[in-house]
Amino acid sequence: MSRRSALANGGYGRYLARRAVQGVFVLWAAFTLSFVVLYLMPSDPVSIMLNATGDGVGVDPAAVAALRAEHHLDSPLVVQYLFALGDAVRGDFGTSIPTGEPVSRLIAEALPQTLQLTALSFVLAVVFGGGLALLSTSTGWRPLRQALLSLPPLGVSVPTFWVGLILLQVFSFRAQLFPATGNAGFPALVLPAITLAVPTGAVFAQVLAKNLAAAWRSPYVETARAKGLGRTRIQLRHALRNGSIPVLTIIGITVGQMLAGAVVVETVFSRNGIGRLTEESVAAQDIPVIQGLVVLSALVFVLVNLVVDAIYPLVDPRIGRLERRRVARTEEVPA
Amino acid sequence: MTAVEMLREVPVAVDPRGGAPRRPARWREVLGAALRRPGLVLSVLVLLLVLGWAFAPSWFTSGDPYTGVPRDKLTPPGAQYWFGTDHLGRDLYTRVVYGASLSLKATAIAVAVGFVVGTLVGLVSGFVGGRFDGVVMRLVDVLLSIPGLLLSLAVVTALGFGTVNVAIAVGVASVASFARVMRADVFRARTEVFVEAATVSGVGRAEILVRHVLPHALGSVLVLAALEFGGAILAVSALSFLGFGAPPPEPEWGALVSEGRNYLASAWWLTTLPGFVVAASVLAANRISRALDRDGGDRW
Amino acid sequence: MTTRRRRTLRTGTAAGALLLALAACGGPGQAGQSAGPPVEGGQLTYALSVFPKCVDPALQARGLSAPQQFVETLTDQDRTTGEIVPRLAESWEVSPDARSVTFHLRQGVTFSDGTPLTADVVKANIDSLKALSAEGKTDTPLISSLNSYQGTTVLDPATFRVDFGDPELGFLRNVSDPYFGIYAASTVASSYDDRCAGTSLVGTGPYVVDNVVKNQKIELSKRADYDWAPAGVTNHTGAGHLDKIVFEVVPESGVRVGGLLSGQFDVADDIPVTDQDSITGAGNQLLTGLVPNLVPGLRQNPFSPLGGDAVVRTAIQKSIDRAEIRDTLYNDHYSLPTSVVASNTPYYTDESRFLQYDPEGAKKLLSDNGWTTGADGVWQKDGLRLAPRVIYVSGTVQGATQQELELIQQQLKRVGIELQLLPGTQTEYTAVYNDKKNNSYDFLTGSGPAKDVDFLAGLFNKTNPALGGADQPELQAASERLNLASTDAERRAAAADLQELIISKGYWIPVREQTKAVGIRSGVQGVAIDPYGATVLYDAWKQDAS
Repeated sequence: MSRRSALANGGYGRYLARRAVQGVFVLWAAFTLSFVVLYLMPSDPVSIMLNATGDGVGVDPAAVAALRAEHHLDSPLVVQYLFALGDAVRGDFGTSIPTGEPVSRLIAEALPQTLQLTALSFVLAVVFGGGLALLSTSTGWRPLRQALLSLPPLGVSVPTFWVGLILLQVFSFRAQLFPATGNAGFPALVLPAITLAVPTGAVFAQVLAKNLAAAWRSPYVETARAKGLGRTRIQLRHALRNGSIPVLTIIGITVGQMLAGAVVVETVFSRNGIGRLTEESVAAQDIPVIQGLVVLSALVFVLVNLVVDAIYPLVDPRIGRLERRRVARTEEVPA
Repeated sequence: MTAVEMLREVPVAVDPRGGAPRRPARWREVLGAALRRPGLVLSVLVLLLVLGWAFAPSWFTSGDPYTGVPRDKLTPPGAQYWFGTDHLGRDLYTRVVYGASLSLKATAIAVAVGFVVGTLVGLVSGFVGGRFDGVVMRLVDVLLSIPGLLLSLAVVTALGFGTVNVAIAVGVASVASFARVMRADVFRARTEVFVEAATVSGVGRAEILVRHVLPHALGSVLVLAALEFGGAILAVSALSFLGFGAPPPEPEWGALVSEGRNYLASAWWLTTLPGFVVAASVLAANRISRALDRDGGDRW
Repeated sequence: MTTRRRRTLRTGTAAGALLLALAACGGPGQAGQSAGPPVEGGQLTYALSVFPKCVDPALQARGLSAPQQFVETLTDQDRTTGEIVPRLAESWEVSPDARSVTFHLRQGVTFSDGTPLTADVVKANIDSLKALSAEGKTDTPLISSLNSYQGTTVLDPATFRVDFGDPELGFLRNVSDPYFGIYAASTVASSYDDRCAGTSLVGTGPYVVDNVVKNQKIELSKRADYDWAPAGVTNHTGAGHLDKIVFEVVPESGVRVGGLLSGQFDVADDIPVTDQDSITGAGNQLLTGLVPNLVPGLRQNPFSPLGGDAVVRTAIQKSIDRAEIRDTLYNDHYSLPTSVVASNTPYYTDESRFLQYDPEGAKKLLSDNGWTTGADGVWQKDGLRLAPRVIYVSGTVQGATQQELELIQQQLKRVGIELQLLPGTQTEYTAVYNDKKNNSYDFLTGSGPAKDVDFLAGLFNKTNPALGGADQPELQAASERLNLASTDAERRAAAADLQELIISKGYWIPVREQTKAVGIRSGVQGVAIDPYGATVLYDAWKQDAS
C-alpha cells in the first residue's frame, strides 16, 4: 500500500505505541478522577452494607469494624486510593456494596447484552444516518433536501426515553410486533436499538452531510463534473470517500455516548446490561460499581480510538494527527 | 454538543479595537428574515411560552399542581383537562406548567456551572500556559473521554439526588467543552496586537487577563452556552426520568414521563405529552441557538 | 431493602408471609378446573417484578415465588381453613408444655440429587437456620421463631424432636413458612453466598433449579420422580405438568402487562390496578390473594413532638380517607385495612371503628387539645406547626407507596395538616432513622411479614429499633403481656388488646391491606396463590403446550 509508506519506516509502530501510552494515561486519570469524586461523598458505605441485611438486627460492632477493614475504610484516603489502584490494575474493582458481588463479575455479566445493543444500533445509525446524508446531498429537488436535512436536528432534540416509550406504545402494545422487554433474542433487540440509534444516527447524518456538501464544492469534484461524470458516481466515488473521513474521527466519542445512552434505553425496555447496572448502582449509591463503570467507559473510548488511530493513517495520511484528535474530542452526541 | 464542532467552523469575529459589537437596528430586515424562517419564529414562541410557564405559572393555569380530584383520575385529554389527568386526578397540563420552572431552573444552573467553571479553567489555563496548561488540558481530555451522562451520574452518586444536584452534575459534564473553547480563544486573544502592546507597556498580567483577554474571548463561550442549553434540558430531564431529580410529587418534566410509565398501556397521554413538551423545548432552544450562532458569525 | 429499585413503579409487591383467604376476580380462585384434562409438557414463562437479594427464602423473606416450586416445608396449611396439615412431616406430637415437638417424616422422599430425606438432614437444616439467624444473615422472622431453640434430637432415621426453652405455640405454623424449607445436606453445607445466589439449592419439590442468573432469570425443570404432593392441598399427584418454568425479571409493570397481553409471558406478578381491566378484558385471568402481614402504614417517631403526641397521631388516623385511597389507586377487589395486621392473620381483631374517615372529628380533637389554625390554614400549637415529616427510601416497595403518600398528603391538607414527604437514598434514610432521638423525623412508613400476631409483641416493644427504647408505658405493657402469654386464651386476649391500643392511639396508621394480583394468560390453567402470597405452579399446565 503506497499510503503506508507515507509513514516513514517504523513510524507507524511508534505512532501506535505512543497512542497506547496515552490511552493508559487516560485510564489511570479516569480511575483517579472517579475515585476522588466518589469517595468524597458524605455517605458511609458500611451503613448501606449493613442495612442491606435487615433493620440492623443483631449488628455487632466487631462486624462493622471488620467490614471497614475489609474495604480499607479505616485507612487514610491515600492508602485507600493506593489499595484500590493496585487492585484495579489487576482487574479487581472491589465488590458491590449492597450485594457483595465482585464488580468485575457484575460488569462481565452485563456487558454482552449491551454490546449486542450498541453494535446493532451502531449499524443502524451508520446505515440510516449515512443514507440520510447521501440522499439529502444527492437529490436535486430542494424541498426534499430541506425536509431531509431537518431530520437530524430533530433526532438530537428528542429525549431518548421519550422515543423509546413511544416506540413501545406503538409497536409493542398496539401493534404487538415486537416484545416489550429484555432478553428474548433478536426481536427484543430491535426497538431498543432503534431508540439508541436515533441520536447517534442524527449526528452521523449531520457531520456527513456537512462534509459531503463541502466535498461537492471542492476542486476535484469540479474536475470530475467537468469530465462529465454522473452525479451518483461522483457522490459515491469522490464525495463520500472524502466526506466520510471526519465521521471516522467521531466514532470514539459516539461509542462512549451510546454506552451512556444505554442507561436510559435499557431502563425503558428493562433490558439487562451495563446501562441498567449503572442506573441501579446510582440509585443504591453503589460506589465501587460506578467507579468500575466509569473506568469501563474510558477503556472503551481508549480502545475504539486506538483502533481508529490505527486505521486512520492508512485511509488518509494527509490530515495531521493533531487535527484529527482535536476534531474527535470536541464532537459529542447529546445524552 | 455537536455545537462545539460547528462552532469551530464559524470563527467568531471580534472587533479588533475592542469596542462594543455593532448591533444594527434594522428591524424591517429582521422582520423580513423572520418571515422567511417560520421555524425560527415558532421556536421563539415556544421558548417564550415555556419561559412564561416558568416565571408566571398562575397566568397560564388556575389549577393546583399538587392537588387533584381523585374521582377524575386518568381522564383523557379534553376540554376540561387539556393534557388529561394522572392517577391521582391531578391536571397534567398544570403539572407540566409548574414543572417548567423546576426543569428550566435546573437547566439554567447546569449551563451556568459549566460556563463559569469551564470558562475560568480555560481562561487561567490558557493565560498561564506552559506546564500548567498541559496538565489542565490532559484533565480536560480525560473528562471528554467519559460520556457526559455517565459523568453526571457519577457526580449525582456523590452529591445525592435532587434538582440542584442533578443540575450541578449536568453542568460538571460540560465543563470540559467550555474550558477547551475558552482556552483556544484566550490563546488567540493573547497573540492579538493590542494584548502584546499592553504587555509591553507594563500593564499587569491580571489586568490584561480581565480587561483585554476576557472580553474578547467571551464571545464564543457565550454562543457555546446558548448551544448547550438544549443539551442541558435533555440531560436534566434524562436524569430526572431515571429518578434522580426532585422527588415526587414535584412535577419535574422527566419525572412526569417516568410516573406515566406505569400507565403506558392505559393512559398514553401521561408519557407522550410531557415528553412532547421536553422535545419541543429542546428543539426550539437548539433552533434558536443555531440561528444565533450563524447570525453571530454573519453579523457581529 | 432490596437493592433493585424503581421509583414509583412497583406498587403492591407481595411480601412473603401467610394468608388464609383467596379472592379471585375475572376467573376462578384456582384457574382451570373446567378446561378438560391437563396437557403435559411445555414451558411456562413467569414475569417477576423484582429479583430479591437472595433466592433462598431462608435468607430473604420477600417477594419471590420460585422457591415454592423447588423446596418444601415440614408442614403446610389447608387452603380454606388455614389448618396445619402434613407435608414432608407425616405427623407430629407436641409436648404438654409446648416446649418440644416430635416430627415423623414421610417415607420415600428424596432430594433432587438423589439423597433421601432423613431426620439427620432436617436437624442439619434447623441447626443451620439457627446459625444463620444468630449471625444476622437473614431478615426473615427466623430470629423470633427459633429464639428459644435449644436443639434437635434424632430419634430414628425418620423421627426427630425439636426442643425449646420457652413454650412455642406457633412452631408448627412457623415450619410451614417458606423460610423453613428443607434442603439436601449439600445445600446446608454450602456457603452463604451460594445459597443466596440460589446456585446450591437442592430441594424435594416438583421442579429443580437449572440455572439462576442474578437479576435476570431463574430456570426450573420438571422432576419426573416427584410423588409426594401434600394431600388435600394440590389438585393432582405425581410429577408437575410443565417441562420447564422460566422466571424472568421485568421491573416495569407496563412491560409485564404488555408482555402478558402479547403472549410473551404466561404469568405476570404484581399487575397494577389500572391494567387489571385490560388483562381481564383480553380474556386473561387475574388472581388476587390477600397477603397476611403487618399492613402497610405509618409509624411514629416516639421522640418527635408530633410523632410522640397521641392527639396528633389520632387526628391523622381520622383524616386519612382509606376508601378514597382504595377507590383512586385500587379497585373493589382490594379491601380496606381494619387493624394493624391483615384480616387473614391468625388472632386478628377488627378495629375498623377507629379507622373511619372523620375529618370533623380530627379537627375537633385538635382544637380541644389546644391546637389552632394559623393564617396558612395549618394547625399550630405553641409555635409548632402541624407539618409532620414522613421519611422513606425512594422507590421502596415496603410500606405506603409514593402514590399513596401523595394522596394522603392531599387528604391531610383538607384538614389542615401539612404532610411533608421526605424521600431519600438508603444512606440518607439510615442516617435520619438512626438520629431519631434528635427529632429527625416524625413518621416512617413500613409493612412487614407478621404471619402471626406474636410478632406484634416484638414490633411494639421499646427494644425495637424503630422505637429506639422510647418510654411509652401503655404500649410497652400491652406488648409484654402478649409476649408472656402462655395459654391460647391469654394470647388471644392480649393480642386483641394490643391491636386496639395500637390503632386507637395511632401507634400504627394503616394505609391499605396488601393484596397480590397475578395476571394469567388465557389457556394457562391451575395456577394458585398459597397462604404466603406466593404463586404455586405445581398444578399449572398450558392448553397450547405441544
